[in-house]
Amino acid sequence: MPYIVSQPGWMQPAVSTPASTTNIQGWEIFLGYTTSTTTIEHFGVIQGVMHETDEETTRFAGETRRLAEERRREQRERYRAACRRARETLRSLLTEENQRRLDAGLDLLIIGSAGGQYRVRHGYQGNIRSDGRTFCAHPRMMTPDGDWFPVEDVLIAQIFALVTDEPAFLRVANMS
Amino acid sequence: MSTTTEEVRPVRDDEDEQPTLRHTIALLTARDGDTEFSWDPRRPIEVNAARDHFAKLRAEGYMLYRVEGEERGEHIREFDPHAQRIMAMPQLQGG
Repeated sequence: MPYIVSQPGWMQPAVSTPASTTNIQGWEIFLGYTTSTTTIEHFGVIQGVMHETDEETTRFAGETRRLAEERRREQRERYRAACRRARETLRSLLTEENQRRLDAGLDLLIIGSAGGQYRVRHGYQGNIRSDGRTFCAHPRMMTPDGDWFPVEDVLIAQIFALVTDEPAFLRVANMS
Repeated sequence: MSTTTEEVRPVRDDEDEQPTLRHTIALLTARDGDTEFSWDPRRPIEVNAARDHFAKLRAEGYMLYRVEGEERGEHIREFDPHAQRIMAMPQLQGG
């Protein structure tokens, strides 16, 4: 039987979204956290399992790989669904001209609240240009459990920052 | 802050024959994609729930914008029950 080593105070056994991996010593490490809609409330290594036989280790390693692949597949599917929704949302916020440009894969042309003209490229960072300068400002792009924000959501945040308070955007953005 | 009853004409929950008005707060999240919280501005209970949701998002650091048309909006700090569409998104940081 494997035995369990717990780190007191890290987590309760009931985790909403468990994931596991194997560390360098061959210990199976479980990561646990609870999530609300938007926030990660806890994150950390909660327990390790050490096996007494090679067969157990091999079996657990196989199961761990299977779980990891299953999790990656779920993440990919969730990301694709999130991207579809985000693209619909982005389209709904754009002018017809920029909808056309989005569909054609062209830069979006955005007028800032102070009158600046910007080209917003499809991208996470360093994707905004104006007068030969490049601006980099974006929301956090990944949650601690490895979920990426759809790039269209990043574009929405950047566009709203530009059209509602361009000076504040320029204060935050790195410029090159 | 004004009360909900001053801002909207209340509609009783049993007035189901009334056409539904759905105003929304859309939240951009990485995990679930865009999620929406909606309310009928004529229903005080729903308005209060939306107001609480708005306050929670603000407390969590989200930027909230009232959408005012194509590529137009306003950063808002107080909940507006008459806003047709509010977008909540994470704050930008320099990259």
